[in-house]
Amino acid sequence: MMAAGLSMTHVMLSEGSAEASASFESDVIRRIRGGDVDAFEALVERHRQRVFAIVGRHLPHDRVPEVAHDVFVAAFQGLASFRGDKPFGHWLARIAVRRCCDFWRAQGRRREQAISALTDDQRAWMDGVLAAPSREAFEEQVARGEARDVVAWALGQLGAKDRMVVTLVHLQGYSVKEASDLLGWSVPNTKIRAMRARHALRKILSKVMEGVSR
Amino acid sequence: MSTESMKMEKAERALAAAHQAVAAPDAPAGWQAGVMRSVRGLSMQRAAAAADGLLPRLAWATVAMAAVAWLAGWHLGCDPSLDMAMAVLEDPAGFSTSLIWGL
Repeated sequence: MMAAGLSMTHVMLSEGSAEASASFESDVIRRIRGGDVDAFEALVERHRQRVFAIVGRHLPHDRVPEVAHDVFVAAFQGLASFRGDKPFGHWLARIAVRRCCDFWRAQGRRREQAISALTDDQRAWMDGVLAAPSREAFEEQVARGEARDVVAWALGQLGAKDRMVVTLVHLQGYSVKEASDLLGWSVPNTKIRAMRARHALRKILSKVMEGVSR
Repeated sequence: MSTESMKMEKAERALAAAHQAVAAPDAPAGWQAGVMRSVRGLSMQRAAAAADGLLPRLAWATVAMAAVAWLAGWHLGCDPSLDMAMAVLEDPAGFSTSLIWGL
C-alpha cells in the first residue's frame, strides 16, 4: 500500500515535472518565434545529450558532433512547423533519426566488403561468441573491443533504410510503432522493412559464421 | 531449434549487446557555441532576405499607385493627368497622405 502510494506520488511528481518542462519549452519556442534567437540555446542545452545519444548509436563517433549540429540547425529552421501536439524532445528525436538516415544515404550503399576484410581478431571474436560455454564467457566476449568493429562491419553491408530500421528495432529494442514514428514511415512498412533487414543481417552473419568455421 | 539457428540467435544477441554497450560521445568543447553561431547567422540571413524582399515590393506598390493616379486623372479629364502620376512617383507618402485628407 505504502509502495503504491509512493509510486503514485512519484507518477504525479513526474507528470508535474513533465508538464512544467513542456510549459517551459513552449514558452522558449514562443520567444524564439518572436525573434529572440538566443533563447534557442536553452533548448540546445536541454536536449544536447539526448541528440548525441541518438546520433552516437547510429553513426561513427567522429561524425557525431557535425551531424548533431545539423540536427539543431534543422530544428531551428523547422521550428515554425512544430505544432506542439507532442513533446519537443520527441520531435527533435525524429529529426535526429532522419538525419542519420540521410547520412547513410549520402554515403551510398557501401560496396559489399568480403569477410576477409575482417581482421583475425574480429573473426576470433565471432568464434568466441559462438563457442562461449557460459553466460559470463558470452558477456566477456561482448565487452571486447572487437565487438564494435564487427557490428559496424555487419551494418555496413546494409542499405541506409535497412540499417536504420534494423538498428532501431533489433539492436536497440524499439517497438515497431516507436520506430515507425521516429522514421516517419507507416507501421506496416516499418514492420516489413524490419523483417527484411533482419533477414539480410542473418544472411550476413551466416556468411561470417561459415567463414569462421572454415 | 537447430544448432545453426541457435548460433544465429547467439550472434544476433551478441551484436545487439555490443551495440548497446557503445557509450554515446559527449559534445566537444565549443560545440554549443558553434550551433548558436550557425543559428544566429541563419536568423540574420533571414532578416536580410526579408528586407531585400520588402524594397522591391514597396517600389512596385509605388509604380502601381502612380499608374492608378494617372488613369484616374485621365478618366476625370484632368489636364495633364501625368502630373498626378509624377506627384506619386516624387513623393508617394506625401501623395497618399494628401489623397486620404482629400477624401
